[in-house]
Amino acid sequence: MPLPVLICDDSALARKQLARILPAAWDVDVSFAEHGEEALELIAEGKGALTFLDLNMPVMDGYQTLEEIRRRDLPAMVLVVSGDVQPEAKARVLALGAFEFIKKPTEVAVLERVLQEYGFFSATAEPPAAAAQQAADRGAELQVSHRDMYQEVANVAMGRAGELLARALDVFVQLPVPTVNQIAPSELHMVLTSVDQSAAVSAVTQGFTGDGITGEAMVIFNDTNMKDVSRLLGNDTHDKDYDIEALLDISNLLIGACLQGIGEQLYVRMNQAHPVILGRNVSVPELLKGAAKRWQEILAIEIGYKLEGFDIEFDLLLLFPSTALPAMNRQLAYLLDGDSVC
Amino acid sequence: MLNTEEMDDLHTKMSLLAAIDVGIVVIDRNFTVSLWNEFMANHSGKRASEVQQQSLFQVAPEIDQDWFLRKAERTFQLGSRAFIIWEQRPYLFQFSSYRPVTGASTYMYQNVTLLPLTNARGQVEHLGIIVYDVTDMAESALAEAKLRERMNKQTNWNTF
Repeated sequence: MPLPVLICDDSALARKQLARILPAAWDVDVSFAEHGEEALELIAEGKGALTFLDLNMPVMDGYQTLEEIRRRDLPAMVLVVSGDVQPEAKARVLALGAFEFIKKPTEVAVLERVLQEYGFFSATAEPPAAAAQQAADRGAELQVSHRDMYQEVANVAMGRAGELLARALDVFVQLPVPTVNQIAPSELHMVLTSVDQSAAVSAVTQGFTGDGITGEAMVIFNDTNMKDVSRLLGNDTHDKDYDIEALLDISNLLIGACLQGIGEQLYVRMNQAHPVILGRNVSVPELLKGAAKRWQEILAIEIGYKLEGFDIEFDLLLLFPSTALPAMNRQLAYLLDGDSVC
Repeated sequence: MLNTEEMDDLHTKMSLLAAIDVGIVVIDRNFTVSLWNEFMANHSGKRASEVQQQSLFQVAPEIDQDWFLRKAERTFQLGSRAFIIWEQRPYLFQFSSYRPVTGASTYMYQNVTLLPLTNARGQVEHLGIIVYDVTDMAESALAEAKLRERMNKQTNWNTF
């Protein structure tokens, strides 16, 4: 009898990628869920004996799902697959009952090793006759849009940057679901959800380019957070420019790791310009007034980071002009390995 | 041994490193200088042979040691590059301005990049310090800020 396997991830790209790399000779019956609530329903129906679970999802995230599986004693062995690579994230899901944690993007060798180690799959077992055809069809019905792909690439990159930040500040970083918007630059202020728009903010922006993919990465802070962040960084808060110092330290960490994460997924090595202070102690509209003059549509990915246990939030914005999208889509096509994008 | 072609190639690269108008310094985990290009030698007045195997803080005592240690340690540990801009600190190395006669400032404003350099085993053992002269940019930005301040004062006065 095939093993009921459930893949739960809000990203269609991630679901498809994982379905594709399940061992071809493995006799499984694969179902999909887009968030924790859907997963719980399918598990209750017996469709998730082995469940691959993402952490950062809308509606119900991975942590809540694990708690619920335990509370209701549902029949699922959970393997967490996440871009959140903070050691603390792994420790937390193992404590909540997951049997293993693997990082995104999932490597075939790692997946096979884990499946074999826990006895779900044996490479030497004779595959059922129809298995090869079944395997080829896995996830074929999943439609992946460009937006899905941007979001998943941002998700993995965000996790990398979060891990670096967690190490540098010795805190746990709460990761959101990145939001992807195609907007006019004049609407940019609307995508900023993690900064208080009525308060004074400071921001730096840094240009990057690689293989035709150009863009800007922006880090935006509420000024009230600056002193706390400086302390966490071990900086001297008596320095008169401590706010610039903190802003630069955080942007160095976040932007560097994020671009590296994106670059690795798209097989592109990015060049970074020096960061530029976009504004200091200004309002959000004042900060973005330069952007508002451009007419060209942009792709804006917003990532709101929160530091657990502190009242500190800040925004990382990745902005791509529409001229960068053809190059980006060309590189993204490698992730889908020949499948078309809807 | 290198063949002639490889020697020529190496020679070209070394000449480029020497002639490029950007400062390049390489330090190890103990902040000992192992590379000091011609830009650095010419602007500091210290030859590469003098600073080799010396502590960076001895070679450039103007560097705020605690502050730089924090930046550099993080780059070593996390393996991610770091940028220092002139608005944060006008310079890392105290050099005279390139235009001693017509320039507005005495010192060279600098943007600096700290690059983690990995060995063949992927470990970060060295740090590249890249120094860019941004005096012209800084001077015009400062002049513009001053002008804006003056204009604001004037408008305020007019509203009375």
